Amino acid sequence: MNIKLLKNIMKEVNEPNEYEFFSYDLSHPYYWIYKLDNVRIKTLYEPLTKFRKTTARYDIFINGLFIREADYILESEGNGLLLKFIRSQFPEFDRFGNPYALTDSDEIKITGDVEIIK
Amino acid sequence: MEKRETNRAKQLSIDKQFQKGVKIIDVDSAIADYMSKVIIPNLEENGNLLKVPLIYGNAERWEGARKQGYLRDERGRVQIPMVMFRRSSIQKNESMPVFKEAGTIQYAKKYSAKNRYDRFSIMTGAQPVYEIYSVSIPSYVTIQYEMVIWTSFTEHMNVLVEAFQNQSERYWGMEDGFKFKSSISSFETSQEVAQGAERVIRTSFTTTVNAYLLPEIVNNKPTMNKSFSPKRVVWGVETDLSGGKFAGLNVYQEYADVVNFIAIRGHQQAVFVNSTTAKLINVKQPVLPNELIGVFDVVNWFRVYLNGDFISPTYYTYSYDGNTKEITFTFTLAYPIEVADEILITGKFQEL
Repeated sequence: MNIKLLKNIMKEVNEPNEYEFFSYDLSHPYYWIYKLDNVRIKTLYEPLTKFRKTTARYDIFINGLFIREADYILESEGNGLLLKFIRSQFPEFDRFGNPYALTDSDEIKITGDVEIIK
Repeated sequence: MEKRETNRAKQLSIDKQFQKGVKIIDVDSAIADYMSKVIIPNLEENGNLLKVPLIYGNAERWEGARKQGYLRDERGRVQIPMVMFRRSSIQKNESMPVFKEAGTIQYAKKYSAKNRYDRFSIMTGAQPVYEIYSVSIPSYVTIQYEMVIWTSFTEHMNVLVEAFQNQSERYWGMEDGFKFKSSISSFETSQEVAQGAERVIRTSFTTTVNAYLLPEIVNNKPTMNKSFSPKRVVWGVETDLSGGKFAGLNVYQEYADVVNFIAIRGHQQAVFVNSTTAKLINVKQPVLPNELIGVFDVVNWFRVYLNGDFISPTYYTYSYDGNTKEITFTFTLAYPIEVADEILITGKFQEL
């Protein structure tokens, strides 16, 4: 191992990035699905995996609100990420009494150990 | 022109006395010298001691002696008594098979000029140097010598035969030189009295010598090499930041405290305790390494989200109990926390 690898570790754990998803399939009966192309979760130096569990490596926000991990499923698909919000985990109605639904205009962001595939 | 690669460390001078190999002439000389100085006795004739000469039978002498039955000197006199020998054959010794390229025979010379007047080694713990000579494996051969003894009297011949027989199965050679095991199987004696000629007693026999041959140089390299034993073995510690040299040990291990701290990040939903308190359970709060004091943002050690909204660190305090492995957050919000609220916390804590 050399200094270069040490730099890589720092890139993996100390340089968080933020990317925005776009809607992919909002008519799915169980999920609101969003997609992010050409982005992946960074690799993590194996001895450090015990210090940073997978769910702690990124945060998901909907319109600036932090979303707990139980409310979504994050999957890799091709060269991108697929984010599936579980409909049943969200309230049935919003604060105005309308059926709750995520739309194209909602801002879905991921922050953490993610990077663009070069 | 290509520069010849040399290693100055291996260029050690070898004293001339060690530089020679074992040549055929060395074997011949050893046998001849031993016969002349040890085996062949002086004969007594009319109260006088008569020295028996030993000569090597070159082709002309040998042929002449074989035809006439004896050898004459330059004046034409028959040379009696006399011993003549010649090397007749060299054969590979099948009982000593060796793989010559397999290794070397090593000899360590305890005395070395390098150790003279060296009292400094007492303080440094250095050991005396041994001069090590590595000799290539020689070729083991069997050399046969044909020998002829001429005397005028049977008494003289008996003395000589007894002397040779006594030295059979012994090592023939010079005291400080090479020695080779020699054996004699049988003696053939004949008396020749021709008309008008001298009476000659002749005995011929064959001596088999187990010898070994080693050239001085093979493939432009000497067959004997000299080296020195190490004076002292020193163990040191070396740190290589460039990597590559020590593949096993790495920079990560050297800076593990800092790297691990930076890598630690937890994500957990806090457990409601009361309207102002929530806690993370089964977690460990790491200690800030000294190297990061003043650099790391301790104010934002945690990021707390209440129902998705970020709560500024000014609205809570926290404490860690290492025994129960819990981090307790006490909030000073303008509203109470309820059981149904989702309190999500990320930051510098390790989920156990």
